[in-house]
Formats: sequence, C-alpha cells, structure tokens
Amino acid sequence: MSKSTSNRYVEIVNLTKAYPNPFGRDIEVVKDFNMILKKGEIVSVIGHSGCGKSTVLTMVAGLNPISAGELAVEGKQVSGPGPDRSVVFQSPCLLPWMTSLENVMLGVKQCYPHGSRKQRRQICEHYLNLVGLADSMHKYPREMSGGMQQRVGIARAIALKPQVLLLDEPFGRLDSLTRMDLQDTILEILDREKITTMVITHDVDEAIYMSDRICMMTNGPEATVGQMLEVPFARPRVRAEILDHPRYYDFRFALIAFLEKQEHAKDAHVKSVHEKLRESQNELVAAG
Amino acid sequence: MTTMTIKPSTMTSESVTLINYVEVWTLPENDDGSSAESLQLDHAFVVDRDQSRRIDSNQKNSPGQGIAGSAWKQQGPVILQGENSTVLANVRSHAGIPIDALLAIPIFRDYDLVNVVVFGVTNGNGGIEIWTRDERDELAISGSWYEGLASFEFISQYVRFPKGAGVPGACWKDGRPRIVPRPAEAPGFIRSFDKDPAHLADCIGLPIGRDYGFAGSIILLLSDESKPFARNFSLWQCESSAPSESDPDPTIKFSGSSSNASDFSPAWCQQICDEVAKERGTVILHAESGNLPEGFQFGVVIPFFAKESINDLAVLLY
Repeated sequence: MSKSTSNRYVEIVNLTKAYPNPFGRDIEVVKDFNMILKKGEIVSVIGHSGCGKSTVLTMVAGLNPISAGELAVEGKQVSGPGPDRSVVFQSPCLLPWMTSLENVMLGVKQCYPHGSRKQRRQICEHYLNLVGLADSMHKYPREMSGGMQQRVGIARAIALKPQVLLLDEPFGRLDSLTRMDLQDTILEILDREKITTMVITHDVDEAIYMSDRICMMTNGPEATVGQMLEVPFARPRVRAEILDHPRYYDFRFALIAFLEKQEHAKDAHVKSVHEKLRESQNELVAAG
Repeated sequence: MTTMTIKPSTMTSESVTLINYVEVWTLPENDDGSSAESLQLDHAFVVDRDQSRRIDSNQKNSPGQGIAGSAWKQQGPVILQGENSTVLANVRSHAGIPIDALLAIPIFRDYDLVNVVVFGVTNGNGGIEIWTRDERDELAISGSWYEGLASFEFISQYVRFPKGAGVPGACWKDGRPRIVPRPAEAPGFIRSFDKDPAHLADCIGLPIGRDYGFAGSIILLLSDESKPFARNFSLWQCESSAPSESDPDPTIKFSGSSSNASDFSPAWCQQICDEVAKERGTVILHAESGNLPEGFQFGVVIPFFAKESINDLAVLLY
C-alpha cells in the first residue's frame, strides 16, 4: 500500500472475500477488487443483483472481515468498523421508540463524548435541518414516511462527520419522486461537506447523476471490477442539464451494454453448468 | 537479422489488411558491447493486395528523431496521425502510399531496447489504443487512432481499467500478449461498440515494458471483420531459458499458439522459434528464402521478453 495522498484517499487493493465450502475449495465471491478513491470523490458501484456489491461495501465499512487484500483510509489500514466510515443501508433501521433527533443523537454521543449537551444537540439539529427535517425532529419513525425515515438515516450517518460515507442502495425502497428529491439532498450535502462517498446502486441514471466515477462490477463468483467510467459532468449538478447533455445517452448506453454483457455471460455460465450436470447424469446412467 | 530478397513490384492501390506499411528498426551493438547512438532502419515494406514490396531502408534515427526515435526516447509506444505531422508526411512520401496513422512499438529485452517496429495503417475500420498506468494504478488511454468507431472512441476516453480488468488489465496482470476473438461475444471484452459501423473481429493486447512484471503500457489493436491487421496474426507461446555462461545460445521451444496459427505445422513453428532464438530480436520472414508457408509474401515475428527469456511471439504474416 502506498503512502496516502488526497489522490489515493481510500485504497482498495486486491480485496477478496471467500466463504468456506464443505464440498471443496473456498468460494471466492469477490476476488482481486481494486479501486482508489480521491478525497471528496463520489463513486458508484453498479452490477447485477448478488454480484457482490454490498459485500465490497460491508468490507470497506469494516462490518465484514476481508479474506485477502488490503484496505486503507487515509493511509490507515481498516481492521473493523469505525466512526471514520458511516453507512446508510436501504432500510434506515431507526429505533422505533426514539424520535428522529434522538436517533441521530445516538451516534453523535459516541463521536463527540467531550462536547456539551448543547453542542451535541446543535450538531443533530444542523444535520436534520440539512436533510429537510427541521419540522420533524420530534417525530417518531411511525409518524414519518419511508423517505423521511431515510432522511433521518442520512442525517445520522453524516452527523458523525465521517471521512467516508457508504451508501448501500439508499433509495431502493423509495418511489421515484422521493428518490430524486433525496438524491438532490445528498448531492447538495456532499458538495458542501466534500465527503468521500461510495454508492451501491442498480440504477444507471442514478449512478451517472450522482457520481464522479462509476465502477462496473462483473458477475460473481470471483466478481471484480470490470471497468471504471469517469463521469465528466461538472458539479454542482442540475438534473435537467445532465439529462439534456448531448452525451448523456452515450454514458447510459455504455453502462447498460456492460450489464447486458454480464447477463449474457451469466446465462452462458448457467447453460454450461447444466450441460455438465446432464453429461454427468448420462455417464451415471450408462454406468448402471 | 534475416535479409530480405523480395523484388519490388508495381504498387497497387489498396491493401487487403489494415496495416499497409511495416518498418523494423534495430539498435545495433558497438564492438565493445554497448548500444549504438542511433537506430538503424533494417526493413521497410509496403503491403499490397497483389505483391508486397520492400522499399529503401537506409535510414538512421537518434532518440527523439522520427517516430521510432520518439518511441526510444519515451521508452514506450507512440501513435502519430493527422495531416500536420511532418514525420507522417515523410513516411507517406517515402512509402509512396496513403497512411492514416503510424504506431511505433519498442521491443525491450529486460531493460534494453532491441527493436522498434513501426506499423502504418490506412483505409479501413479499426482501432489502435495505448493504455498507460496512471496515478491511481489504473490504465487510461494515452494515445489512440480509430476509424468507424466514433461511439467507442468517445466512451473509451472515460474508461479506466484496474489491473486484471478488461483486456488491457488482463495483459498487465499476466504480462503476456493475448488475442480476444469476436470481442462482441467475449466476456473479457467489456466495452461496447454496438452503435458503431465497425464490426470488430479481433482484439489483440500487447504489453510493452522495460522490466518483467511491469507493463508500462498496453497496446490494443482492434481489427474489423472486413480488414484484419495481417493476413494471419497469431500469438505463440514458448518455453525458453535466459542466456547464461554455460548456455550462451538458449533455445526456444514452441509450445502452442492461438487458433489463428492452427493451420501451421509445429515443425515450421519450431523453425521460426529457432530463428528468433538466434536473432534475440524481431525477425523478418520472406517467401523467397523459403521460411514462409505457401501463399504468404512476408512476415514479422515480434518477441516478448520476460527479462532475458522469450515467452511469447506475435507473428504477423502478409
């Protein structure tokens, strides 16, 4: 691992995740995954369901031990979860007996143990305000929509002032209007706070709109980086301008073509496995 | 270097291959074993539909001079194109044919430059890309030429490959050249060119570096179904040893080739390997000296070294 610079803020080198297999050698779901993130950069990871995107994210978060490879944030090896990396999952997972302010306060208490009660409260209010929940600080999760709950989840993650923000399909359960609204909210915050961010998504339009770079993952097992795509649109971004950009559909086409190729490769792999099984079956029948 | 005896013929207007011009430059050794101060042009060929021909090759290039000298100075491959290039204009005039772009490939044996092979391309769909390692340890395009691949060209400038990813990343990872036939169907070829008029038939990756295990850059050659880079392009794998005091003249054993060479006899392949072992550099083949299969007029055999040993040969036949 090289000395960290702002150009190599997060370093993921030959990251591998293997699970034990009682019938043979370990199954490597992710293998030799390489990616370098610059400070303040937003990188999306796209790929088919089950390819290992979230496995990569949980390893970066320190929630899932790595089997091989190296992982460092600002030159420091990652060996477990820490306040330098915040995660927002698809489901906000709020504690139902706490208000939105209290849910955000939970993490803030851990990260600012020496701050006064007033200071901690101001931090929570600031970030709830940023995500547009100034009027809902004292509401319980049951009193809020899915989109509002996810906003609390985002405020809770960003209030920790993480060096790296990890978003695991954060808009996956939201309707398209809420999703767009929340994408804009997050981009506004990230443009202001310059937090290095990794976003896991299935949505090619979301990836193009939000990211500076897009990592296209191949299908597993042994999933890895297929290619990286630089998204050259300037920040801050305006959705209408991006959609109207004459080259927008070239980027979209490149992503969809990659995913389609992965799908075909998967079909071919399944077909070959079936053929091998059939051959083995025939051999067994022939052998009596 | 093997000598060339094909006689000049009347020039025809069009080549059947995308590469229509080949130069092979050599860095000679002085009597004391040190390298000379200028590259010597040993061979220059124009590839014609009816009969390829040799042209005058009495030239020398110092570092930085001409495209071969630029590749020497930069220690990496170079692409030249455009109407304003004086070097390209000079080569066009010297060859007497239209040339759209030139690619210079330096061949290194360990840290030493051995040859520079220059290809001229024209009048057909295809692409040449040079991928170079950037500050993130990813490969990014640092030079290119395309025809009939406008959409592919646009998106490729934004694509990056980490080690092991895509064809360039795979060449970087194993340090060996590779051919990917029918890229549209190949899972290893992951950029899309479906919107373009060109129909890619082959993708050839060539790692170029001064040191084994570190590919300074990767060359990707993309040929169209209608016009291949050569009438036959194959990669051969070899088993060879590095020269030592006890064995100053190591042999190279032919151990297999890509499917494009399956029609050639193993005996002929071994004969070519013996010539490369003797030369320790790029070898030119020609029909009149009897070292080419029937139907071919000349060929270029480019060795890829791992330190002092040759592991792979790229064989282009015309």
